[in-house]
Amino acid sequence: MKNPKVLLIFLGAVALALASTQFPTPKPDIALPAETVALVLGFPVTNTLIATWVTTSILLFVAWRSTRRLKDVPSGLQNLVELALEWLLGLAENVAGKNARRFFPLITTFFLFIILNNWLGLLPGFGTIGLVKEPEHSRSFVFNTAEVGPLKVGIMPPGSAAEVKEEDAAKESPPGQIKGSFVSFLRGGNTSLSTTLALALVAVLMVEYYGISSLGFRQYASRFVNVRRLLKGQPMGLMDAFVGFLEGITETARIISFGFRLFGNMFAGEVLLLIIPFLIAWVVPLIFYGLEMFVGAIQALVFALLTLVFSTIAVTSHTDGHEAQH
Amino acid sequence: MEPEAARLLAAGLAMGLGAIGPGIGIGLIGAGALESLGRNPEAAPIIQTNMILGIALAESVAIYALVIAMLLRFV
Repeated sequence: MKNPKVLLIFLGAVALALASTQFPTPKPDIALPAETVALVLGFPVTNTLIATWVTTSILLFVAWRSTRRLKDVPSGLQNLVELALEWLLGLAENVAGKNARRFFPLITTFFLFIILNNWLGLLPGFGTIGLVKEPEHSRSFVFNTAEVGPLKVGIMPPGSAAEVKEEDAAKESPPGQIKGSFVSFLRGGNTSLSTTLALALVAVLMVEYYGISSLGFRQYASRFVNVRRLLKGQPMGLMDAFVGFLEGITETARIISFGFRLFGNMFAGEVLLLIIPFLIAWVVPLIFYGLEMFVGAIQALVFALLTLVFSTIAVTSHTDGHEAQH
Repeated sequence: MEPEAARLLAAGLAMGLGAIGPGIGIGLIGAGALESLGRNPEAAPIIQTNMILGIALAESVAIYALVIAMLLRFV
């Protein structure tokens, strides 16, 4: 036995995992749309919106703080930010070559925003602290309440005591307990389709803008409305026109593709992180936490890189592209 | 068959069948990447970057299926 300590730790972890079946957690309440926390001037403020505000504030603060007194030989926060940006710039120049600097602000914003949104959603407190409301469509839980000054604070009792039993559903709850559905204050920003579709829309519109501003409207539009050969009378022009039409469909489908890829990954990750502790409460969720950190980073990278790739394709004119191939 | 049973069955089928294609696709991408890595180890960063990109694009099809399955199950 080379290292008995490792075996002991492993057996301890397995024992903990098995022991956690004696302490069951309540079945999670999974909501697909983002839940409204409050109405501000008639506008519904959802928990994903608040999380996005947190992300934006952090990014703005870091940006302000690291550029206050710029030094030629950086140190501290400026050094860290320069490290990250240099790495990204290297990656961008690998993909886009000389156009990298032009697209860099947009794709860096996408990358930093998405990765911070995803990683903040993993912090404790996101999804666990919130309001108890009258049960509407979602499931209700039992909360033990206490008065703390003017506030009424509730805590979910551990295990299956938090579930509302069938026979108690319609009854009044005893004093010190309430039943209601739970809406957390914060939830990972990209678990809402609104956020991801907005990002996708911005990405695709910016790609079109880069194309038009590089090539001019007529040349860029000729990629989609390719009727030159058709108008000359050549029947092969029909295929050109059809290909152009398909390109238009592809561009539009990119909005859906970008939005749903990010949303699906993040929402599925959140559901996974809710269900796995329901199955095995201890030890095993750590593995899935690692997976979620990885997936969050990769999805941010993929979003930024794909935007970069499509922008590069958009600013490359037809003739240039063909010459490069031959 | 009651609608509830049909929904659950549909959710399972959607995810199950929807994962076949992307699974094979990602396997092929990985195989291609590993082979080119073996031929040209110096190009590792470029190959890795493009492999991640390709895998994410292939995986997004599986994610679409997952979204449908979750819509069927939870909404």
